Amino acid sequence: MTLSVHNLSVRYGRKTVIDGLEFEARPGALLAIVGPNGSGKSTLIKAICGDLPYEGSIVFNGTEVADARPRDLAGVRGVLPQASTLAFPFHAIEVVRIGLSSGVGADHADRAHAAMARVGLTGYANRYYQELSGGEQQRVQLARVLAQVWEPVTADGPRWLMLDEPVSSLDIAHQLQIMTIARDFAQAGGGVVAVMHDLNLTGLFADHVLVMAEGQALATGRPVDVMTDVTLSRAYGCDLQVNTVPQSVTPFVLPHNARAAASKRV
Amino acid sequence: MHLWLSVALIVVGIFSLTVGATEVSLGSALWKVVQGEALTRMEAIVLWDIRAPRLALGLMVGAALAMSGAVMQGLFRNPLADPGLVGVSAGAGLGAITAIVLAGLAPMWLALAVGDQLVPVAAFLGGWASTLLLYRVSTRRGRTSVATMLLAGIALGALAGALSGVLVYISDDRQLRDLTFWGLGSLGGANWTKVLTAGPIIMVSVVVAASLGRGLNGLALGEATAAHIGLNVQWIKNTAILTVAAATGAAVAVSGGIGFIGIVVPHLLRLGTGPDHRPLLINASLLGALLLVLADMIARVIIAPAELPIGIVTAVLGAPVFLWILLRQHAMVDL
Repeated sequence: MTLSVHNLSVRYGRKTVIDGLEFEARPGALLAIVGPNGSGKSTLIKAICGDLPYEGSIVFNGTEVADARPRDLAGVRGVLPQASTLAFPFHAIEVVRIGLSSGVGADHADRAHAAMARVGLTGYANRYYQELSGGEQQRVQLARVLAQVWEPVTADGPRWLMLDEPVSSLDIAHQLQIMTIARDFAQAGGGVVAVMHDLNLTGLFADHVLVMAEGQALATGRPVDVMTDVTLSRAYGCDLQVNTVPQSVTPFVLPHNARAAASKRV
Repeated sequence: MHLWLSVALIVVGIFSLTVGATEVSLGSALWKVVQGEALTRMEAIVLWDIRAPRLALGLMVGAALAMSGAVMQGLFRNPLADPGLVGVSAGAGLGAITAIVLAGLAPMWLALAVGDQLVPVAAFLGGWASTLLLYRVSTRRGRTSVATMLLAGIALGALAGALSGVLVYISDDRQLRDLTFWGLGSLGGANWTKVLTAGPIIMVSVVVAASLGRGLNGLALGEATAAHIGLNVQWIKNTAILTVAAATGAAVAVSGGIGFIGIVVPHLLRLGTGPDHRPLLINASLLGALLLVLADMIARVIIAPAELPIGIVTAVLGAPVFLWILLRQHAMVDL
């Protein structure tokens, strides 16, 4: 019951965005995909979610993604998109319910309220989605995804959360809240794949890290092994220095000459 | 809401049977039927051959246009979409104009085969042809891009307009009058033949479209998310496009150009019951039928014994209502 990506290539027209990528993700762990803009992170998660035609193979719980029916995929994984729009003025709770309406979890309408509570939006049920702040909208979308894959593990196996920059429009308190929800999901036996921009949150929450550069996997492994000066500097094309949070192995990342850069400005 | 609309629909339907240019009373005719008396020839013709098929056609056309409008708005994720966007109206108009202007050139076998139904048949085929063309243009590798369809529809509409212009240019005065009136829409030519040919197409389309509610709700979250929650997005698109083309094509073929029903009715209903497409689609077909029959009654009596084209009535009533809705929403329409 893993997610295994083998010799994956994705092209937009003649441009190759992902080029022969290999990796594997297991349930029970949070896998963060990091890398500079344009390295193929979002394309990769879209391909995994079945949004894009691809070459090679993406096998998800034993099924090739390209051959799976949307409904079967929806039963085993929920997807939080990077940005989302809403065409009509639905209430927040209706957005969550629509996520359940295709048959997956449709008999659990009360889950919508529980999911809203889980992301800290109790009392927002009857607010218009379009009138919420960007961060609140993001959390409503997360509630929709959580309601869809409510139990991290079912009789049929683990379920997965696919998160494309889940905390990009959130303040630090909500970043921590959302990442904690994702980590709890993984610790309960579910799988989590998250595209991340924030390397420090990645260091804090990820169990595994896939560093991407130019459509390929530059490194994969535990944060402490992968998040090194050399790897990250190479991936992002700038001098980075990885430090360690005192009395732990948690890495945090600063520019190489951070102190010098800061002192110059005084 | 379904219930109230249904009751109102029945009341208006019965009332519409009693209204018309001639003094024929439905009540007295019904009383005669109950008493076992024979109807006068006049009563039989006016009620059974004129008003009843007209009512039936009005109900179907109204339901078809309003339902199609609601489906298109859901599919294009745009509250301003109307059935014209899938190319039906432009193609149907071109077909109708071609039939009106070039009818004299039609081969004998064709004239014999379709008889006086040449214009509706041409309009229906024209509507379908343009929809299929648009669908082909905007579908790549099994995925239909609704954005491409929207833009290609504008181009196709312009092309159809230009061709129509050529035909208008070469038409004579009588043809010009005919095609102008066709464009304004009318239920005046209603007869049982039209009801029985357009009826099944419209009814099947409306019933199938009514099942799209959940799918269109999902599409409101975006195509990618709709697929992520387990919907078959391409199936929804195909069903929506085909049912709208069939329903609108048939409606336009038998009634000409009747505007604003498709755009005003769903908007009005969203004010009442919100954006959920599941009640919306069914309510739209009920309210569309209701309003069109009402508009037809106004068209029949306002300048009696003459008759106003119904397209004028729907536009005169619909446009201000639409503006009112827009202003009420503080013009918050995201395109």
